[in-house]
Amino acid sequence: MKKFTLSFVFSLITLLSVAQTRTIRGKIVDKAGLPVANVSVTVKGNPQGVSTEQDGTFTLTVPGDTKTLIVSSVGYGDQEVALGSSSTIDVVLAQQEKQLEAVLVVAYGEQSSRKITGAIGRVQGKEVENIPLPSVDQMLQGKVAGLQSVSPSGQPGSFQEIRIRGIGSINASSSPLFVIDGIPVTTGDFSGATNSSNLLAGLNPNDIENISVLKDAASASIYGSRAANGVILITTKKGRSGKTKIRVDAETGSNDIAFFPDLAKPLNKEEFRQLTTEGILNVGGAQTDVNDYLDALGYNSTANYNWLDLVKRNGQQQQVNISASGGDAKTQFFLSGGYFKQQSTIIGSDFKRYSTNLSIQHQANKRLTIGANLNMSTFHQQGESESANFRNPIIAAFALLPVQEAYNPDGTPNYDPNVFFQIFNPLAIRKYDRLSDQTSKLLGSVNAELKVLDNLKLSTRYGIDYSNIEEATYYNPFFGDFSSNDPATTGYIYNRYNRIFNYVWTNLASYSFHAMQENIQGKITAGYEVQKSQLLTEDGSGNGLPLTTSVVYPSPVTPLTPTYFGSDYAFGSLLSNAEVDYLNKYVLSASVRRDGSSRFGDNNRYGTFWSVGAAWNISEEKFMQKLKAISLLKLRASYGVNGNAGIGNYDWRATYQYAGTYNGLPAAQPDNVGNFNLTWEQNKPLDIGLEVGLFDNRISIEADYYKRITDHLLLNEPLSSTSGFPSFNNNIGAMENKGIELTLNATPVKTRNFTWSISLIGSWNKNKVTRLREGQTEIRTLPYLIRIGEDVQSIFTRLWAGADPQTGDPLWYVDETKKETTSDFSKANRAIIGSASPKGFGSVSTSLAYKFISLDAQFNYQYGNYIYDQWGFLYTGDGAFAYLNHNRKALQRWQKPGDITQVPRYDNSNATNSNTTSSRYFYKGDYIRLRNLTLGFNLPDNVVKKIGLTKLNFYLRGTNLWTKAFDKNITIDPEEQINGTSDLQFFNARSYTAGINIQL
Amino acid sequence: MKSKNKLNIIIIVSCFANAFLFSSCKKDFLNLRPYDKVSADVAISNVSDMQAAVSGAYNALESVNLYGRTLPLYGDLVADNVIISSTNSNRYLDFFQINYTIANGNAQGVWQSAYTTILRANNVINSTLSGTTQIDQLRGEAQAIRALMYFELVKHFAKAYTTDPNGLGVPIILEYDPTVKPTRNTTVEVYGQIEKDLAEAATLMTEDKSSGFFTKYAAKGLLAKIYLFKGEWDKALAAAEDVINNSGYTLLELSDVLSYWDNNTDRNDGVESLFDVVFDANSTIANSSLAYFYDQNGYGDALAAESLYNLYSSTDVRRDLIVVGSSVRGPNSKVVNKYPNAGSPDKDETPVLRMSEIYLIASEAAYHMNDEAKALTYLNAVAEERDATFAGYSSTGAAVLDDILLERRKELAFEGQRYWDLVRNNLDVVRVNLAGNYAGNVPLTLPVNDFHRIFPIPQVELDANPNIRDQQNAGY
Repeated sequence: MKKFTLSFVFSLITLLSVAQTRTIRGKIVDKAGLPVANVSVTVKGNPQGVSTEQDGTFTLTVPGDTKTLIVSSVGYGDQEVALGSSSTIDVVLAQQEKQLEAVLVVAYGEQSSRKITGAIGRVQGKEVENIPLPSVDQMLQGKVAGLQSVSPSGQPGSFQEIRIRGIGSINASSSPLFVIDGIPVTTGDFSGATNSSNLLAGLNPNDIENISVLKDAASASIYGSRAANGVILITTKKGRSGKTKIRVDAETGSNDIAFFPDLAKPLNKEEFRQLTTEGILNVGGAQTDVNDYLDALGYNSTANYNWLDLVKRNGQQQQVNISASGGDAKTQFFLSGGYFKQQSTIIGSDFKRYSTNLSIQHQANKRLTIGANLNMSTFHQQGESESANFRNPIIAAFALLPVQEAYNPDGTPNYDPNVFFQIFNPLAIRKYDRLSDQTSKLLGSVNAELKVLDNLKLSTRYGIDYSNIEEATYYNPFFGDFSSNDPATTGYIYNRYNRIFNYVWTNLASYSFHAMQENIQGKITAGYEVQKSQLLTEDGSGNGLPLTTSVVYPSPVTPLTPTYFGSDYAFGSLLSNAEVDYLNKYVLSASVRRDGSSRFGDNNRYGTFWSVGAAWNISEEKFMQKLKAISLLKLRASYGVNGNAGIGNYDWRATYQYAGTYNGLPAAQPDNVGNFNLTWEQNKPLDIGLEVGLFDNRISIEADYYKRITDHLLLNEPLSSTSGFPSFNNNIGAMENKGIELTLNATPVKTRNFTWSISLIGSWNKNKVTRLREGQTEIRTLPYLIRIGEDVQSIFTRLWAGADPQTGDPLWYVDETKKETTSDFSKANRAIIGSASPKGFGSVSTSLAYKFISLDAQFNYQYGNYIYDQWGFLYTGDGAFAYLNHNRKALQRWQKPGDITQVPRYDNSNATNSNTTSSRYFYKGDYIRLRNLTLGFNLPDNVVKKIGLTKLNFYLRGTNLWTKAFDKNITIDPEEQINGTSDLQFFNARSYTAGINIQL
Repeated sequence: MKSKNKLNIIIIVSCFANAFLFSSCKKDFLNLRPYDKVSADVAISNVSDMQAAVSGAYNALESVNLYGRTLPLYGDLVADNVIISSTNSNRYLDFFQINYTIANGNAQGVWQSAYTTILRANNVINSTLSGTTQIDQLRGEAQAIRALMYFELVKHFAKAYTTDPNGLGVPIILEYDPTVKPTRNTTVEVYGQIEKDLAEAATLMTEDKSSGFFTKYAAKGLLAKIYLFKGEWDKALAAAEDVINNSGYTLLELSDVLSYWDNNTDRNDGVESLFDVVFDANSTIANSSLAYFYDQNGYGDALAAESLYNLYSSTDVRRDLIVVGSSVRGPNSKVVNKYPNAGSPDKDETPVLRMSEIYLIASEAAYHMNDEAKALTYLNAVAEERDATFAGYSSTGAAVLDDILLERRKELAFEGQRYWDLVRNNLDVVRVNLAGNYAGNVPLTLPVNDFHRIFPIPQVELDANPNIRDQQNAGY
């Protein structure tokens, strides 16, 4: 009976719905007859509807009495279509606007490009899809004018450095704020035991819809005290109503070292023998001394290894991403899962990520929309120490001798301390030690938007950004940094747990208005935002490990005291922005934000940040209408004040810390002076931009001039030591960055079968320190120098003048006039030789598409900076470290009177100071690098359809395939970290990948 | 439709209610405190806090710039007791060579660390807590620590009281003020402050915790030493005899001398130690310890001067505190073994004040008060407990003072005292170059008129404090 009732009700509903609705199928094309995708099709009077597919088709179920449909699309506006009795309908879109107008994601909303008054760089999601790099910030170099993004390490998943419009701080952060789907997220490196870990590596780049880089006051100041270094808005993919799309992306590939100059290669057995022989004879030794010395190093054995070959490898990489998106008029969804795995070019350095993403939007009723995003991932990093650690495989590659026996007779790695008395055998470290971390990350938010009136919207979003990093390190008890003869102390295990919990709640009201018959349109948004972030760290460690490496978490004989650390910060903000335009010609914008932060001292707890901007769309003017060639001409300008809150969480507080003991009693002592005035660093950016479009925007140019003055920079202000403190933090310094950015896009050829487009991006920035503390003219952090009037990354070092042609002694210039040389190291004065910051950088890209084949290339370039081979004094030390291998540059040494060379005489245990830091170890950082080369095959639609798919692409991609370094003496990869200093990091990779995209 | 409106209204109301909630609790929301620290203004709110803060002040005494290494080394090194071996780690060569400038890091270290300690003591002394014996004790300890620091500062940075009492001393800072830019007080003012602190401390303190903490009689003993440095012999004798007769502390006996110096913990037995700076396994001094600087398995840079070694008779137990021969520095090197625990996590304590010195103070004061018999009694009380065969001093006249200073040199060697005996008596440093102890550019004298007799006011202080700029010590 029950069953019957149910099926009866069900049939009735079906009948009713058949009676009350009809299904309309159609296709929407433009004037040229080409299908238009993503056009919204709705019933008039009801906002519920569908979007068109890639082929322009749609299917919509409408009430039976529907008479009119509304089709609307960006760049076309709304168009009413009368519905006859037919159930199919084709619509030709009338192009209402002069050109397709892009809508950009901006702070707290979206905006059409003509109404934008600020400088915003934009990166499309597809530009960061299927790139063989773990995190999205690594993909931004060369994509946006003014944005510099470099990797301090080739370890996959390691921290990335980003600077937008130069370096804006000395002691506070210079990194931009990242906002993902409206949530200001925690970024940076929170690792403590392992090398470096990038929280952004938890975000699968394939889940990104687009990226907006906010560079000036008008676009960024609404983020207040955190906007000074720029803001990067990332929007993840959302579902669209229509047929469910399923997409599969898979790729596989391998990588090797991107750039390794011949001069940097370690010497082989014979070359080192020759050099050492010469070096001992040069210091007055005899041939018997040579033999003794070489034998002591191991030359009496048959061992002969190339340690570089032993530590490098062809790393393998794979990624698979599967997504589904779709929905109906009321509910749309996007979900995806991803797997990414990469081995670096060095043994034992790996990265693996599992990620999922879910987005739902639901229209509850005509006025209320609700939604949620959930992004979850876990990534695992396996690495090794960098820098001059004896366990670093890179230093081993450069400095271990070919005669050091790598293997035991049974094939296991040799760790005999008589053979590896200083730098350890990296193969043994690899086999017995472990440095790894695992980060689990959750980024989730729920949101609701309520249309109170047609022109008044209230919205709320609550988001959480949760990361936890578990680090596990294990140092074996047999050899290495932590081995000893005492079973109670040998070996070391150190595990660390980090939890970062960050929540943000944003509430906004936005009100649109118009006047003068809609000639004037405007919008005001106002709201408040609260955010709190907490960090917790716990660690535990111990010595005295069992003499087996098969236990993952051994129980140490001597457990060491665990430590706990916690830290937090909060922001509470009121914010508002407004824009008004007259006939799309004249646009004015303004923003204001009042930020309060726990990081700011009592006296400066709240700050007000603001911007004003204006744009003039000259091409809208009547007098421009005749100039058909000019499709877009826009002038914009902005100015404002924002801040850099990247300062310590509690720096302003006067505190007592509990640290240390005395005679068994816990001790407390004042540890921070405190400064109730301590506050954000202030940034005042001015931006003037010009946008030009020619020939229906076949050519578009965007040029910006900016000048940002940064003030109240945090510096150490000395105190009279009689107060008990030597110094305190105060907002006293100032600097400025000014520069020009240029972006040019052109499509020289566009025919039915062939398209060729090119893109040029250039950025030129000049930094100048303008104020330090009173009476202070410079801060030396050799070899760097912060001096008033100079670039903040100036390099201050002795001036190398090569080898004395007569004696082979090292020569330096006495001073920067370079008139006089000296072999007396103490008479060589330091001078500024340049800066680690580039004068210019950018990219040149080109894209060719012929029928179903496409070829994309992106060349990145940079020039005008210096990079520093910091550890060159070891392996190009002219014999100063005679027992370490040298690189092939050492072969250029002076040998006999008359030799003209940069490399002095090779003396065993060289004591001439020739290897002390000087301009000798600095190289010009000028380079061009083929960042990306992709050959794609997009199978024709008719072929794809026959096999039941929507889309099918194949591609072959090379990353960093070719590098041209302009300094012929260079020994390191010219693409260095921001401060230009090589720290024996893992190498940048060149990779080759092949992939496939399938869309159902 | 009605229910939808209701839902909408609920949402609007809750949004704005939350806005209200947020703004009303905003103050607390943004007032976040560190997890591992407390605000300085409430840091000393009860007796436990006060105990921790006093421990913090003692902890500052462990600094390498103070009793960790520099202070107990300087007084011997700049005089004639200790040399730096030619095999060295480049530490303290400037002291040994008597060649320091306003940029000298060790002098700067003494200045900064002493004032850091004074800040820690000031905060305890100035706390509003009072009324219990425990609080009084702690405040007394802090006052004694402050007095000790001003004593060290005025010794190192100002001319001796006995030669120029009204000359420039050091700034007296009794309250925390980060913006302070003081001028120098006079030496007599500094000594006045030290006496006041010690007198008050002696009254406040009633507990005897161990030799690692100040006590009533440690404060009185230090006061005796202050009077000695001022040349106020009657007061010095009275204070020293007060300690000798009333403290209950006893003099270190011959049979215990070696075990006394072998020991690396503070004492509770009332023997010898009036105040030590304690280094235990939790101290962070590690390789910066004084012991490590003498230990031939450590830096081992510093050795006993040949001329000092030769002063000890073969039956003097104190000669056993110097070991002949070092694997690193040769078979004739005289290795200081007074602090033998460099290799242990629990390092040797640094003695600051002990009964033997109180006896020697009493002796010297008695001599100056023309009581030769008493002077010899106190002097021999010490000397006879160091050498079983020694028959005792029996000199007369000025030779008594020579004997007292000789005995002080022998007894207090490697405790940083020698130089100050010469300074307060206005004597030249004369180094006897035996066994090539003073090779190269190491001067053999530091005469009374040499400006290196006192430290420069450090460059960093002049930079940060304009008021002290024209008060630099002469010669720098």
